[in-house]
Amino acid sequence: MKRVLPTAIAMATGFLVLLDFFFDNLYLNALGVTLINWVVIIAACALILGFLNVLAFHLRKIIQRQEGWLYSIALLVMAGTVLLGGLINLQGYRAPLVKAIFDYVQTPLQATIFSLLVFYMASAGYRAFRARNLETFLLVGACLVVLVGQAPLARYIWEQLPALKDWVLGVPATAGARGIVIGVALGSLATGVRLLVGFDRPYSE
Amino acid sequence: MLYCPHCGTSNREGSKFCNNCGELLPPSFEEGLPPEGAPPEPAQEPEWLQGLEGEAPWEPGEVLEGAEEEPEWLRELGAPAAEAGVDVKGEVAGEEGTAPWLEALAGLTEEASLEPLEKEGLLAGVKGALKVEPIFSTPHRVGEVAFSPLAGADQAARFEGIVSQPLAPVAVEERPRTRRKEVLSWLFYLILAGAVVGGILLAGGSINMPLTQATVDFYKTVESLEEGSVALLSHDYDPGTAAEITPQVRAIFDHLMRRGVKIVNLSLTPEGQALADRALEDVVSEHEGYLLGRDYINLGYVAGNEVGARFVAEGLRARLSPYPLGEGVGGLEDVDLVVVLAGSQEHLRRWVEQVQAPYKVAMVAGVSGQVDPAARPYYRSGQLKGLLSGLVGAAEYERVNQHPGIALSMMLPQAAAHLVIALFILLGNFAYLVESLGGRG
Amino acid sequence: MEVILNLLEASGIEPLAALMLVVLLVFFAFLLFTDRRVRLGFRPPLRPLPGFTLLNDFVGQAVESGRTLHVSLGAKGIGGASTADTMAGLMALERLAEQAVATGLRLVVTISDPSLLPIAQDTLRRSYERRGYPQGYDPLQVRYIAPDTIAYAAGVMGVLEREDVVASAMIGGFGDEFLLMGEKGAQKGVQQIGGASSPGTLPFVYASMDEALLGEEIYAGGGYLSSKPSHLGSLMAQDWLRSAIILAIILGVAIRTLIL
Repeated sequence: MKRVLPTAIAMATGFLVLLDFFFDNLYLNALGVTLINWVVIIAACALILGFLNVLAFHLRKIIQRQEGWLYSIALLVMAGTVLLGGLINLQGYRAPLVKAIFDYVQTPLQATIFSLLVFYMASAGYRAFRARNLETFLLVGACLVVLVGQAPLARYIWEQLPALKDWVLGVPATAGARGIVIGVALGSLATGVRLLVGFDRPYSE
Repeated sequence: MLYCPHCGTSNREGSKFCNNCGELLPPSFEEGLPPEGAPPEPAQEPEWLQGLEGEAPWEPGEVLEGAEEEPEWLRELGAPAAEAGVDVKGEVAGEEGTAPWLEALAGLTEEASLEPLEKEGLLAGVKGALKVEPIFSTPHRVGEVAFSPLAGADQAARFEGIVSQPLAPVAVEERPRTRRKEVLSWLFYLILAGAVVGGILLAGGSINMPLTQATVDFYKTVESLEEGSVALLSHDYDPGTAAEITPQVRAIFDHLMRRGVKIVNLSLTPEGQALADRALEDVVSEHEGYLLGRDYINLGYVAGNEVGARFVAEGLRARLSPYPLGEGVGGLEDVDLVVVLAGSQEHLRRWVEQVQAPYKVAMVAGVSGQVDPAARPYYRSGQLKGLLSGLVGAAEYERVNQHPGIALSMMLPQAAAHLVIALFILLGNFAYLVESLGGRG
Repeated sequence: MEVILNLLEASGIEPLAALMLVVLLVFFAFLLFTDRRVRLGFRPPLRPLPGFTLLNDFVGQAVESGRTLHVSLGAKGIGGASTADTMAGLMALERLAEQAVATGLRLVVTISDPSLLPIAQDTLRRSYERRGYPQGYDPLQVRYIAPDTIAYAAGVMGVLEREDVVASAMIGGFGDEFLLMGEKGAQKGVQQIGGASSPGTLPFVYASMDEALLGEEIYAGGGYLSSKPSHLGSLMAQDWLRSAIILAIILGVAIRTLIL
């Protein structure tokens, strides 16, 4: 029973939502919308679980004085500040304190971390994009054409470079991306069908 | 390769513990075997081996008990049942094949077990599969046995010597980060930073940007909207990708407001709503008469990802009904254009799959540069009427709108960064070439 | 054709949706057939995937060094379009967890979507229970970092920097942030395998990983690592459906070019 019940629930709800997607039926629509509403509620509950996990991990780190425990204190203080700030008058993200933290702390920090990408791209490009064989030669060639061709000054280097870049992006790159997307779709289909019919049961023993 | 005596998994030379079951590995199985070319010992099957039928050894990839069973409904369908206990033999990918003697010992079918697997040597005449045991362990027997006790005692002593050695974890050979590599990395970072900063300082005005067809189509689609049309904008990006997408958003807001289009904003990401607010505040200040609630609205964060997109499509009227903008909007069919601002591939996909495909609504997208390969197929197939890609797309749109902004002024630093990275790639290949030639020479 | 369209309209299903339903049913039929074949003993030939070969070595190396193995399940979660990607990561986690528990290895699992928390913890817990060592399970081995992908990447970079990580497996749904984690690991000398399905992320996977799993290769974990019959069967079914799609594309191009 311990194994049959979760599987039965998962299969039944999965099939109902699937039927709702394919068929336009009043009762199916209503059932589908209800189930989807419940998904949103479960996702919100999962967020609470996640917060408790963060709390437990960092509290343990602080209590046991593990390496980096001061950062854990900073994290918990910030999390508590944003949480309480949003609860004041139940304004949520529009609360002045939350907005200020978002505008002057979170946004610049996220933009900064993201901008590290360009530096890491440079070092990864130097280390990894090397023409060892025909395939990697084509990879490096395409990479250089698109990198330089995408720059607005490309046509001053070679007139045809923007057109070549467009061709590389529009033909081989799109074809490759389409092939990957078709393969990924097949893989997703297989995973979904295995979950639907009960071959994969990550939710039960 | 070293083969584990307990589970049969192949391990790299030099390993002390089995990768699969964690048991201690002997130095080499070959030490226990006679040298190649040596004449085989006379075949004398010992009494204790006669008629011995062992279990099949566990092989890598073998399904763990209880881990993979047919669902009950499938079993009950009455299809010809699989042999009870037939396991699918997993094969470790990339392995070049197990040793023939191990394969022979692992022979598992009933047919194979009927014939003797070994025709000579110590195991001559043995039927059935044997459990893989360390060959130099001597089982305790009372009474006479038909094999040489001296060879067994020697192997047992060797085994005891190995087991009595203290366990010392072998340090994995690390790839040292040499001083030279660190200095090189920092040099690259400094050069790149210098190129970008230099580009910012030198950028005096807007560059004469070439226009791509995708941007022109985007512009034409917005330009074709009449005054009073309704556009739905979904801000599905975060502060990380905001650097690329916010300039697009400002340019799009500006164009829509000049056309007198009503703008409904929402976001399927929590940060998107705040980013949309900031962009709106900046652009609305340049368009007097554009009123919140009547001409534009921000519905905020809609939870649920794909589910959220469908909710919006199906429940738009209910969401807009409290506002004057909602008058005359019965549902998605009254929306003239959907603009998806996507920081990642799945944000774009969920709108195309959940809204554009079933409802056939006109849709354009502004995406981060790395989403471009995934977005292009949708544009080329016609599902997206136009596409802006990254900061370059924003700059092209500012140019075609004839309203230069931050994107155009960032083109010189971006060009500098692109060229520097391309130079590093060429440098890396040059270094590789020199190393290869140096190695061959 | 008219009859079919009228029938579909009467049933309340769009023609495109009907086509999708047909593909789904065809795949389901393929899957049932191939699954049965595999359970009866047929072994489909699998091309070697170096990423999964290295994954099998991970635990051995980590055990010998006495350090930590990091597993990332992706910056996405369960319940959306990236469910399949996350399931691929869970497959690798299941395999690594079994081996880690058997060898007493310290495992750290990082997640970005909290809906994955109970599933990842359950996978670990079941591994400990199967090995008869339930008291060894620590729910905080699974760490929820942050829902934002950049914040998640920053958290993982912190794990790679501060904790003694010898090897890292990153299979799941990733975006740009993959390069941040991958390059940090590469700079720290951590042995890494990674995989993602998004075309835009694949260059980062290729550039920063020791062995890369590209695109749909990440979904093959169940077949390569655990040889589950249903997974091996679905690999075969996928190949059949892929062949049918290729044929349809070629026929379509030929018809459009030559006839229409």
